[in-house]
Amino acid sequence: MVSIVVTRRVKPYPPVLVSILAIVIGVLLTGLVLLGFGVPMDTYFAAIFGGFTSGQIMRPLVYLILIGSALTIAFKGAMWNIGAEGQMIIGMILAGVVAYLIATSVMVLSGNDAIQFLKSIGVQNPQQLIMLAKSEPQLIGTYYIYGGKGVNAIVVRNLTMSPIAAQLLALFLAAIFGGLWAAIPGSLKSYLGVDEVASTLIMNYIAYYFFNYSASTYLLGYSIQARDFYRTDQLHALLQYPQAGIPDSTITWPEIWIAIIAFVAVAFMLNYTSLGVRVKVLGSNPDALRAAGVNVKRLAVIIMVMSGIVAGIAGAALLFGNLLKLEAIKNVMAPPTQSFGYTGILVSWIAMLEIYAVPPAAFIVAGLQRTGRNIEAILPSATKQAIGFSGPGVMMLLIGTVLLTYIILRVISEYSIRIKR
Amino acid sequence: MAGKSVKGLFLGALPLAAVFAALTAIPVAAQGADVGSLIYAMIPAFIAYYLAALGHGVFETSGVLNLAIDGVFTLSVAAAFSTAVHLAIAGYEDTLAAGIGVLVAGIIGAFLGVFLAFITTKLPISHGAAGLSLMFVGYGLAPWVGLPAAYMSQNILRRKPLLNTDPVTVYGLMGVAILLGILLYFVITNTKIGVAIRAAGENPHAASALGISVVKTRVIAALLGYTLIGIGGGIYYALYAQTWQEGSGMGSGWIAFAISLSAGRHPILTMISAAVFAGILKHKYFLASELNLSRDVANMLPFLVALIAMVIFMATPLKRRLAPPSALGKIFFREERTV
Amino acid sequence: MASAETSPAAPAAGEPLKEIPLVHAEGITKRFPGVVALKDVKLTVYKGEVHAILGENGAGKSTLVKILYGIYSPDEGEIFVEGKKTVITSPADAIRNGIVLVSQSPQLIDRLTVGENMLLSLAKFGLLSRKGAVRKVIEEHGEKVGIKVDPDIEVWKLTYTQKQLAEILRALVLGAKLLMLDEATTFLPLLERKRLYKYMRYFAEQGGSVILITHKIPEAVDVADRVTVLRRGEVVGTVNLREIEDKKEVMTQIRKMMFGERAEAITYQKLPPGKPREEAALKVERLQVIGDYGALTVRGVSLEVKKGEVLGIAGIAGNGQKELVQAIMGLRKVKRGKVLINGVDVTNKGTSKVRALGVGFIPDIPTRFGVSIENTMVENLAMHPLIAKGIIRWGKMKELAKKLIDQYRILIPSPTTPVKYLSGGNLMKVLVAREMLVSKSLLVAYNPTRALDEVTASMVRRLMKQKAIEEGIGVLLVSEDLDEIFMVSDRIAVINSGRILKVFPSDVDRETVESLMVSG
Ligand SMILES: Nc1ncnc2c1ncn2[C@@H]1O[C@H](COP(=O)(O)OP(=O)(O)O)[C@@H](O)[C@H]1O
Ligand SMILES: [Mg+2]
Repeated sequence: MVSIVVTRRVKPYPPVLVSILAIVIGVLLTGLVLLGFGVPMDTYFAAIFGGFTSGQIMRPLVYLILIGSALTIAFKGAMWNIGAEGQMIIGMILAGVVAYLIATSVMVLSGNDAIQFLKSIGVQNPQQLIMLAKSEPQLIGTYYIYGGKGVNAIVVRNLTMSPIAAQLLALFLAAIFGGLWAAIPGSLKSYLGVDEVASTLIMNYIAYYFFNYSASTYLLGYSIQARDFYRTDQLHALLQYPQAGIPDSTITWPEIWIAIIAFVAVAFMLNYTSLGVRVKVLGSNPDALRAAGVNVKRLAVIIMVMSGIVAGIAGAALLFGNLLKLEAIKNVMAPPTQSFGYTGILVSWIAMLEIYAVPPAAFIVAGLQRTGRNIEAILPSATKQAIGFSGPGVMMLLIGTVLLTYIILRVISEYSIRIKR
Repeated sequence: MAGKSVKGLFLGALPLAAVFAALTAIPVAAQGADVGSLIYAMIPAFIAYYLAALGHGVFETSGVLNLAIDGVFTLSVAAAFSTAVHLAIAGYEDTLAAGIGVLVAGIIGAFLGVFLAFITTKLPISHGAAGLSLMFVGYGLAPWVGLPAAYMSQNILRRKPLLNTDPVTVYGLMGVAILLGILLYFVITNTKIGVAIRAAGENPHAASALGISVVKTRVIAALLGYTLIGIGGGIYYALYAQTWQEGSGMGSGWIAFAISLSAGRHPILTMISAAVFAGILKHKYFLASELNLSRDVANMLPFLVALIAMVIFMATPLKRRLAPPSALGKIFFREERTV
Repeated sequence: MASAETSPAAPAAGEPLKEIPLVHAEGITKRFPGVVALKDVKLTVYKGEVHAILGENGAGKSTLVKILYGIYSPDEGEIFVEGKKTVITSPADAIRNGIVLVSQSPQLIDRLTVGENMLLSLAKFGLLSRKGAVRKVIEEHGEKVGIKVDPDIEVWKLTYTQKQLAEILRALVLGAKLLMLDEATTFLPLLERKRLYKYMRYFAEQGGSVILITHKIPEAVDVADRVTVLRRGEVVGTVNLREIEDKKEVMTQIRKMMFGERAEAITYQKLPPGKPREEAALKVERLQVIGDYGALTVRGVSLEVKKGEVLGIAGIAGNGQKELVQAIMGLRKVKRGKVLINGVDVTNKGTSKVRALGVGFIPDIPTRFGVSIENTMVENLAMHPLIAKGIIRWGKMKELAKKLIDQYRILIPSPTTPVKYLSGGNLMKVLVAREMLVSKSLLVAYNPTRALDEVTASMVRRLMKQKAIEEGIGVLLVSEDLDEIFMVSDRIAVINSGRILKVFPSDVDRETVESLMVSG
């Protein structure tokens, strides 16, 4: 009879080695699986290489630092928040509420009124209106013109508050509601013992459908396309974040700053405050913490709230920096969060739940996350159809395989596994 | 002892039955529709979700936290679909092709489940992390398995091979599902393997010290449980949803998770809970339109109810009656430091 | 004269033992992170002997028997059962070879019945066999040994003593040839213990073998044929007790072997009396508390601890001590009654309120309720709300840690070492140091020396008493170790079935207390 014997290693292998090996092996395994499904190896590796070397890595990098930091708080405290997706979505919705309901007003003019309006601002024809909107957005706002040759109706969306104030208000509300959204599974776990993995995941779906509901009802846009696709209008030009101008990337300055500030704040909280110490101890021995007089139930909720705040902010930033509109989700595998809420889990694990390792881990995962899109770009569409190519499929497979490899290697690094007899 | 468990059964059954009655009452009252046909319409959903929830319950009773369920379920749905399409193209009759598809889904489920049980028990691995990664693997594989078949079914076969929906098949499968539930209940409560499964979930250290093999026990529980989860996924395609596209089945695993949890993982009580959810799932659009809610809210409804069901279970005396296994989700390492 | 052998595997000629080694282990080495638990250990157990293994806390006794039972796997070394090399990788393997372990905490599954637990143990019943099959076996064996348990009762309903007896019955039903008792008798009442020792002798006469591990050296010397002493994972020697008349001398010799020079630090003397003041540090009024399984376990306890005194609570495990302590600390809900600390009502106000009044707490499982072993020593200090708030200055925290390391002579590489690398004794010191630091008015100690060897235990007791005398705090000492109660307490209360039966002055005689402890 053969038995596997597992004992703790006196000297574990260095954790960094585990992370690196996990990525290498995980990437190779995924490559093999994809090969089995008909994706040529060279395409796969070219796609990965492209992922790391193009400026396109910037956006996933920024968001994975954000979500990676958010989840590191939660995971360190052993709160398995798998709901960053939902918290981001809620942040997005709140940002949308600010952008479309609070900070802008809508003027709908039809028939004569429309023509009168055009005259009043000194515009002779629709073409001129377009020019004017581009050159002086503060004057004319976002507009939509209905009708064929003649003007039937005009919809003008004007700012009602300063753009900076609106952007800050959006981040603020997104943070609050992202935090509250996370407080729900946090409290259910703390006070009732409802498993937070299940509840956060279920709440992701609730958030997705709430998002769809929002985009197709009270936030529904006025343009024809908006009505066709159940989405909001384009964001007012002045609310959009300014581009950072990095080659091959549409990343904006505020997104970069938000990531940096959130990361520093999380790192400070974890490493230099008593709250941070308690988060760590909660993750390793809640009983000891409770006996020392810490309200661990409340602490667990606070941890979820902090995590949700950062995720909510990320959602708002994504709307203002990249999406520029909210559109109902058709395929749950391809939500507007670009699945950062899920890939962020990988970042946090690969970083060994160590906050300073989050940026490098985010870089690696960001490179991998681009892979799906890159393969999509490289492969001829006939091949794609024949093999049933799925971009989200590549990404999920990578997340799963790397994570699985990571946890198994982690065990091997800390435990010796021998076969007896 | 017997008296107490009967009382517990009632305690759990009553609120759930009330919800069930309310749910069927709304459409009946609104439309004057015939109850029989409304109930008949939800049987396919019932079979799919009951089997998955039943399997989940058995699996978790052995102490392994089952976070892989949604990914495996999603993959099973795709696998059943793909198998059915391939077999139908190869000339098999539709029903047979779909039937084999369901079985293949069961085998794939069993394979992944056994893998999960084995690594989380043999190695000191976080159940949460292992389950989640397997979930992602399942999500990731599903479109690769399903999409080519979808292409073929559209362009070559021009139909989707399904199981028959005649009363004989539907009632027959329902009977089998219910019998399976009763059989598993008997096995769990009355046989040595059942005692061993409960022991592994309550206190694997003590179970191992008593002389049973925790790994073997949990692998058997996984074999039983995950075959059912996989078959549930197969039925989901072949009898309930009757279609497949990318993302099909995603989220349904979590609903099965909630069904099982809200019934305290009890094989018999899970039937009631599954029936309630089948009602919601089948009639959600109808319910929503009656209540003047949008389609998106209707889609949200099952998830909302799933969350509420878990809360109700945990917040009421039900939890104490049907307490979760004490060692559920705890890392099992024989050389754990105790001093 | 006692004879300390250097080579236990080859007993001297003419020794009165049966010369067939039942179990022989050789070259056993086992390493854990930060410690070598066993180093090249050799142990021989003959048929028909009671073999005691003694050693200070952390010497490796439990590790050794756990290896023989297949719970731990040795890094090196071989095991021979009846002369045949045997690889034991699981308890099932051990049971198959006739080796059964009973440890201090019963390894039974609470929510299963006694019968179900037995069913799991018995390999002769197949996977699909029905539950009822085991009943006859239990009844037959129970009659033979004189242990009666109802196979249909759920284990959690049993008392600690009944559980341990059920465990021993299980070992016998399994047909054990080697019965290993790892502190299994420590918390049993004296009468029960004596009965068991008698049975052990009988079992050995019938050809069975027993390994007995206990902290109570006199009892070991009383019942065993041979004693093997372990120290820091190494065998110091084996003492043959068969023909020894002078038990006192042999005990001194064994203590020397166990502790070396430090043996002198052990005292069983009564510590100096406290200086009780008027004010009460702790007042408990008609307290009622519900236990884990919904039964009322503390049933109207009233007591008072004055500042400057130690109140000892004596009782057998499972008579409501755990729940009482947890309720006082705010870790468990009070059903009825009141808890007042320094005159402030803290009933059901939560642990943070209790702690804020300057209450220290030494729990019985330090690695669970005391320190967090994955974290460093400074983190274990900083996690405490009375030690750190808001932004942490790590420099200051390290200074504090260093001060405590010096004061308590803690063996630790640096304040930033994770405490999991410390030995049990040093780990305990970290906890004691921290809790002494935060005890400004009251210290609640529950089995504070349960897992400690005599040297460390003596130190902890001395420190508690010192704190009471010098700083005038009240100390509530709840302990299942009667020696400890007598050494430290100024007054002794006896708890039984969730009630305080009586409170005695410290010069009461032991028999009186003991008889109250076990009274029905
Ligand atoms: N599972 C374990 N993991 C890590 N260290 C352990 C473990 N078990 C025991 N040790 C360490 O090994 C040493 C011996 O422990 P043990 O055998 O329990 O001692 P004893 O039973 O003699 O008191 C101690 O230093 C203890 O801390
Ligand atoms: Mg020990």
